[in-house]
Amino acid sequence: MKTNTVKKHLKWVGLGVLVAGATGALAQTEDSLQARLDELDQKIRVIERLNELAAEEAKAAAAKSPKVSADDRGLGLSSADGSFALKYRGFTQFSTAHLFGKSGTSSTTASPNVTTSVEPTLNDNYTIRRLQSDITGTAYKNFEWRTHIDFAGGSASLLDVNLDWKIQPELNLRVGKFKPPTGLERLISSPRAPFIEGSFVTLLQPNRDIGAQLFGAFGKGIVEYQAGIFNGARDGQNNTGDNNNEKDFYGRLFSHPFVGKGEWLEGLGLGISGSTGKQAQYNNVATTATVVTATSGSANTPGTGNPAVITTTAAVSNGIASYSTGRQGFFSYAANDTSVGTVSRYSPQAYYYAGPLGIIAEYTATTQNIRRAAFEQEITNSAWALTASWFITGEKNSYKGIKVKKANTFPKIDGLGGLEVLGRVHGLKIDDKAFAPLNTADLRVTYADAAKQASEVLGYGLALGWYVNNTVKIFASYEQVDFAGGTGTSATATAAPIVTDRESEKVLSLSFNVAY
Amino acid sequence: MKTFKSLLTVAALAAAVAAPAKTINLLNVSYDPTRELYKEVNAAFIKQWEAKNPGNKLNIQQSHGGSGKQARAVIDGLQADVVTLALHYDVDVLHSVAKLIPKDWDKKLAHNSAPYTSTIVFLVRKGNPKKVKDWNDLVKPGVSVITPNPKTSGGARWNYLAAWGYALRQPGGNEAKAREFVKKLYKNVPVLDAGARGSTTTFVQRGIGDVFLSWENEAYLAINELGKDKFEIIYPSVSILAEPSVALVDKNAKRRGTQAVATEYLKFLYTEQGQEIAAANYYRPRSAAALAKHKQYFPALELFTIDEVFGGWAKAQKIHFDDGGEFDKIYAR
Repeated sequence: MKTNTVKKHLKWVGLGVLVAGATGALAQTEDSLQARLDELDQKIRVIERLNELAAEEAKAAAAKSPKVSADDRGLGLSSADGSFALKYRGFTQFSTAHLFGKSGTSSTTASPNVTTSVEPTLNDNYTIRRLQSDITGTAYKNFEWRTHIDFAGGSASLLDVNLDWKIQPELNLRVGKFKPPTGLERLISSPRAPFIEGSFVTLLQPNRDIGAQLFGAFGKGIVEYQAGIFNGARDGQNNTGDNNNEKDFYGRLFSHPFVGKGEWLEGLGLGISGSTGKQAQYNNVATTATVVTATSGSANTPGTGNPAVITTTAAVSNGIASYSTGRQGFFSYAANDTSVGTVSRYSPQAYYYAGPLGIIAEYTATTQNIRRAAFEQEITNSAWALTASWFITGEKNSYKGIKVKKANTFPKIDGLGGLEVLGRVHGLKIDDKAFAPLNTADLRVTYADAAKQASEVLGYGLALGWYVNNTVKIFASYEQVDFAGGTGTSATATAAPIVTDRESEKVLSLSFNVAY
Repeated sequence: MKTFKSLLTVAALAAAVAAPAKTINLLNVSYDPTRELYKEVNAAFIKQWEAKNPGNKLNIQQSHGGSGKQARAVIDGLQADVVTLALHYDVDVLHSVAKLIPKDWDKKLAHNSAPYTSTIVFLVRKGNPKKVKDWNDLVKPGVSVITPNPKTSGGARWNYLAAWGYALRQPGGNEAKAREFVKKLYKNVPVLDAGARGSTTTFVQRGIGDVFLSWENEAYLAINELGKDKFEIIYPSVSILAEPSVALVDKNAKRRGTQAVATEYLKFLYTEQGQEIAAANYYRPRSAAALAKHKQYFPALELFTIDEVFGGWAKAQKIHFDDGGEFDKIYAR
């Protein structure tokens, strides 16, 4: 009995020992596994962290690397901090104009002293209107330069070549060749010009000039200013050099009085610009004009005789501006007229941009003394323009540029692109004194022949701009220009001219623009 | 009387228009772990300064990163009015490399322009599973140590030199043994972050490593942020006295017209209020009163200085951290 009991107990003890041994081994294995798992977990965490740090380092290195960009705003290279940069942009414009109803012949001289002019002949045409290359650069962050060249017409024409020193937002210096501070439409960039041809206001404002200008802005654009000294350029013309010590002074103030006051107010801009200068170079008398000697008295002596009468306006250059619609010249002074004394201009101007709406309004008057021999008169010509546009596709309208909401990038078509409807009314008035006889003894003696030169023009038109995307724009416009005067029979010594209005110019224009 | 009041009002308005309120902007370029400290210092100083200069406004911007990197950024043109960096050497290069500050910049303020001190401690996970007690535990196999890269981090240079100094001070310690000791230690470092804050992220957020060689203040911040149930601080037998330095960047401040305010700002660090803020952010204050108030956070510890063991920062930098120096040899893998 005892033996059996002992055996029984021994069995249990043996079983207990076995279980304890197995449990201990199991615990040891579990600890080992846990340690192994912990080790692996650490290794994974380390690898993940090293990857994280490598990504951070790569990002930091990328931030320090020079940047290359190629997008709808051109090609660019810049240092990591933007202190040095080079940017290439271009603008190509192909245009065509179809004119309605013009079938006249060239001007005809009927007799030595009596001229009958008829409608000018105008042709439909296809034109490479602009082929511009624009390279800009930044050096040491605060210095910027620009070389803007137009190759349209088969030769290189330097448009803008200037250096800017950006001292601070309120004070900057620009030297070189560039647009002096004049009117809104003159200062707008070519790709944003509302119509293919500029409005008549731009005819009275110089285009590009060589000089130096201070400019800046206060209060986030509440007040902007430009003030400069330039060689001096004629209305609508570029200056390419100077032959005298006289200079033109320009100034412009422009204000956004409601900056930060909300979308419907902050897009209002109001300003005025002006210039004054006395330019001897305007006094170059043409050598190609034909001068018919006075029939009585001493030529060119006021009160004692009859100033010379010019019988032709073809191929002459008297150094004074002449004006054109872009298709036909409509006003020029006679060939031996000269500009003397001071030429001054002023241009009140305003724009308003709110949502898809944009309106530009401006006025310019140019005053200068015109001399025929000893006869001198102060002549003031003036022009105005009102242009309105609306993006029917809802883009935000802007003076500086348009960002298309849903670009059409063939073959991928996200949307229609941007559609802009435009309308423009503009006019130019030549001073009546330009057509008034200088000598009552001979009615032919005027600065301009009313039977050849229009005294007033009024243009009005509609247009549709299709911004296919931010690079390509297709533009179509229809515009009519009405003329006051400009054809008829010239005056005789004793008879006033018989003046009739030139036939209205009606033109359908199309253009294909690529700006990048 | 009414007319007189009106005239006074007009005169006051005219005076206000004639003397428009001035806004001064200061930039403090600092090292990684001082974000919280200078956030508080700035708020207190701005309040005090604007009270003294009614109508004027003071903005203080902070920039943080690895101390060495921050010094390089200032040399490269970052317009710092003041620098508050991890070590004397990083400030000194603003003179030796770029002449942005005078040679004797450290004599412009008390305590060699170090308004507070700190030291290097060990932050371990709760329960100290690897039983790390002193520097010699860091070189044992299987102990994973987190410390930033001494080439870019001021804090990391303190860690490195503390370890080196410990080894030198051991019986029979010499340069060769110290080199071997530090080499073994860095073999146990799996990740080298660029700055101390990055290493805190590695250890605390990413859960990597067994021990983090940390600024004392950074260790307390980690515990406060994540809970005492997750980490604990181990004070080794000996450590290094870290003296983060501050300086006015004279050339920048002069150009920006901020010299007076920036100098006042640095002096504020030495005031009782400034010292109290430093102590509350776990920097050891120079002020005895502030130290006494916060003594529970700053246990007595044997501390050696850079000058005692390495002959100054310039020498230590050249021997250990310049390109081709001891660290490059030790860490070459």
